[in-house]
Amino acid sequence: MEPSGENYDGSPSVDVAVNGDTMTKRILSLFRNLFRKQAVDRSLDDELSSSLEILTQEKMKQGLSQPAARREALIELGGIEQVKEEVRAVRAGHALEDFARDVRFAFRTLAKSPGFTTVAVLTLALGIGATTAIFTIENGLFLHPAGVPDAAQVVVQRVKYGKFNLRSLVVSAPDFVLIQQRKDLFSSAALEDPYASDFNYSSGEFPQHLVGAMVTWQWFRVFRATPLLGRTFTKQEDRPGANHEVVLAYHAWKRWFGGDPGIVGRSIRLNEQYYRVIGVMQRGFDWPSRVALWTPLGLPPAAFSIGNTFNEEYLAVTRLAPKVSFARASAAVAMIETRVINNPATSYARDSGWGMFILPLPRFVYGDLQTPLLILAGAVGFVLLIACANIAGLLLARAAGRARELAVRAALGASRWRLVQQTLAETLLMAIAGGLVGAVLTKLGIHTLAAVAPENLMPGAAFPMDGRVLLFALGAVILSAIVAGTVPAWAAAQADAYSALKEGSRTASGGRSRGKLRSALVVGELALGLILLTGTGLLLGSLSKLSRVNPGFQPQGVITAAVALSRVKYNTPQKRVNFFRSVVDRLSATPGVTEAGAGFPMPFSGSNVTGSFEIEGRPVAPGNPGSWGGRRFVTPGFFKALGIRLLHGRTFSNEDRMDTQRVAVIDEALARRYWPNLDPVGQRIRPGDGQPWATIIGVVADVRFSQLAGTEQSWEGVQSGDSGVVYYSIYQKTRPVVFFLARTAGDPWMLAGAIGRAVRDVDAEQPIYDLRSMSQLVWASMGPQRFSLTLLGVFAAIALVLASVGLYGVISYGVTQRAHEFGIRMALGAQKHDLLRLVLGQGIRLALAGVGIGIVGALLLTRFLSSLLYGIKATDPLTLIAVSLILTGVALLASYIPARRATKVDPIVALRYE
Amino acid sequence: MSQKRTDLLRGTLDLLVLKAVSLEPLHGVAISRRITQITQGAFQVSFGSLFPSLHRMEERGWVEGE
Repeated sequence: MEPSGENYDGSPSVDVAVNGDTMTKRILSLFRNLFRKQAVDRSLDDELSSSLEILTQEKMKQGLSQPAARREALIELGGIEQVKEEVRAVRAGHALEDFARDVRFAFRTLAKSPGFTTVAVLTLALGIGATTAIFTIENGLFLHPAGVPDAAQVVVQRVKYGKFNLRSLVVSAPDFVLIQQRKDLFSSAALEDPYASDFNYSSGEFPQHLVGAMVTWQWFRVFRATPLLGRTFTKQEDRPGANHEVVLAYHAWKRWFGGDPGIVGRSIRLNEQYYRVIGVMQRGFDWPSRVALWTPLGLPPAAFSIGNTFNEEYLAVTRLAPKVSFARASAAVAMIETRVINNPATSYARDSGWGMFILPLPRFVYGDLQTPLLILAGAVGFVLLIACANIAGLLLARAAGRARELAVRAALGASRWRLVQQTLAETLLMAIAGGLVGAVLTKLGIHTLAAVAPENLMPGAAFPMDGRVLLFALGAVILSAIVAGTVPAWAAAQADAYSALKEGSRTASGGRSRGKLRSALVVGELALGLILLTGTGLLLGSLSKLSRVNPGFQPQGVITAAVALSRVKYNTPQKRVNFFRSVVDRLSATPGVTEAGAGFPMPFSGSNVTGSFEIEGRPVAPGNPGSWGGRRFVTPGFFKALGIRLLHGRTFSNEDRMDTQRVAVIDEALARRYWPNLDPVGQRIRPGDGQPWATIIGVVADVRFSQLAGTEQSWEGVQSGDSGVVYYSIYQKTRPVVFFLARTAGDPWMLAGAIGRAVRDVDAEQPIYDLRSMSQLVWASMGPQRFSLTLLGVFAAIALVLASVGLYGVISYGVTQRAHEFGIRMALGAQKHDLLRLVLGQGIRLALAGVGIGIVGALLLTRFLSSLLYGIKATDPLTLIAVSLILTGVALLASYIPARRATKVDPIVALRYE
Repeated sequence: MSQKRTDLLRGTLDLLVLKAVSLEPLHGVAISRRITQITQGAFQVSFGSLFPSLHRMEERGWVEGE
């Protein structure tokens, strides 16, 4: 068709453009569209109205009247507003513009209903805050252990004895040399002696016990820890006899030396010897585990001889060389291990199932927390899901009231995608607000967690809210906006504009499918809530079983405190024996004390000693690891003071001395293992070649050592299975560190001062430390279980509250919608309890559906809890029944409130309302 | 107006529009008529498609408004 010239003045037409600088054009368009929006819109208006004009003219030429022609023209054009919207959709920057408009609109919508907005924001804040708090903790523990840059590159060297079920935390000096030699893999390596951590610091009146660490000179280099003042050790200072330098930890410097900036160069008295302070460490670094000071280890070259290969005494840490992966280092360690096993000089390695391995530092320190934290991460994930489902439910309920508005918008040219975007903008806005409030909750939550967490569960950990945490929180915000917005957005997009407009605002037919959606959401929430409740119930049952376990001794009424004797002042066994005996005698004479004793290592105090021993008359066959067990060094009163039962024979007496026959007491496990059908009393054993034989004089009951159930763990290592214990008399074989203990009939804290007094009476300069009641130590051993239980319980409670709010919302909305129906029912003679039953029935149906799905989910998921459970199966039916009843009860309560409202409907009002 | 426009059709439409205006400047309505004419009635281009196409090409600098 020819362009029909006459009437087209000023109307836009098009021409082929010659230039091809597309990008510039696009950008210019973007600016024009964003900043000269009105001008652009006006030109579009002109364009469309002139088109309409042309079409109308055309139709009139065909003989139609002016109004009819205009109508036909409009139909052909397809609606001016719709065409405009289509054009806007292809313009540059339209998405940005739409988004800004959506956000503005969402702001207005949310501000219009502050109650709804507050509830929604708080719900999301709870979910996002809890999730972020748990992530912050995992981030702090596993990615950034405090004060150690690039911690994943730091590894801990360990060994294991397959035939003893022992995974040792400490290694021997020769083990360490094998690693240190591989300079291509490890850039620096260092040792620490965990058995030499006691320093008696004398200044002023009261001597003080400080926990220190004797380390080889590269220790700080491995952790990349730089001093705040002064310097760290040199290689020359790390030699026997030359090792009288000390580096102070920041907190010790502040506490004991008042943060004196002139401390470097001064001498302090530790263990009756003078040490020169050469540096103060930066704040935040106090590995291993909150030490106050470091001194050089000064190992003699003989310590590294191959004969010491199986004498594990040191914690070994190593930094991988740059670009060396953990896997590559692990493979190299495996090769070193093979060399040791094949070396005839160390054939014991083959006999005992010896092996060497490395672990990344974060896993070494916090490995026990991995399972609980994983479970908690799952739990907070559920809480966030429930929160999102609640928001989705609220939005659906509101959408029912807004059906007409949505229909009008659709009729005015909004595409479905635009309606979806609109909903998502709203949830995004809520989620951002929720995230901000959640950040505050996270901060509070972490403070509370750190306070609730048992001591030593997360040593040295700090929880910075760094970039990674912020990124995670942002992710949580966006994800929850999408999760919460998807269902309502989908429902909005499904809405049929025509029928919504026709029906008007009354009882929109979309209400029914929306109601179904909301019910499904609530069922999901209840199911998730039930899973969390089940987990909590299982942990609770497990903990109550655990606390009733008999540890093999009676912790009630016993107080204990430790003493570390100076190796200078108490340099002979006899001096130490005299000290122990005098203190125990004084303790026994203290009024209120029924039994007193001493021993090392003490149950539930964190340390352990194990070793091989020989049985007289049983030569070890080649290829056999020999006999092996725990070692304890105790006074005669130890067994009675702790309440350990004597099963057979006798225990030590004061007559068992240095100059009498060596004696030993064994526990039932050791007797069963090595003398299954024989009487061990009268048999002789010795700890090693060249040591005197000790006659077994008695058998006592087994004693739990580090926790009430499961694998035993201590500084010595992780040990599964019952290997048995040998007790030696501390009067025949002494130790520098010992725990004194005293039993009383009443409250052990009445004796709080007794141990300190008895020790000071014997040696006024001798400090005591770790004053605890035995019950307290046993209680503390359940810390990790209690911690998991508390957190899971809190999350389950939040989930329960959110789910019941969701249920309440659905039932309550249903009651409002059906007010008319209830009115008719009442007019027809229905009683109040009939209506009550009707509404409650709906609540119960939803609750039962939730319980059903939840039980299936719980059966699938609780097995991940298994490793944390004791004495209860992950599928314990009693727990499942109990939590189902609780959930149903809460659901009943949540539906009862709206149900009562249903019975108060006045039939006349309800019917007239129509 | 149809909700189901594919990318293929959109590209085809752009080409048809370019073809229609390659000889002389044309008005929107005229372009629509011209396309119907040259495709012998195979395409009845709706304005809901034509105007967005024109604006898209204008922003890319392929055509220019007078």
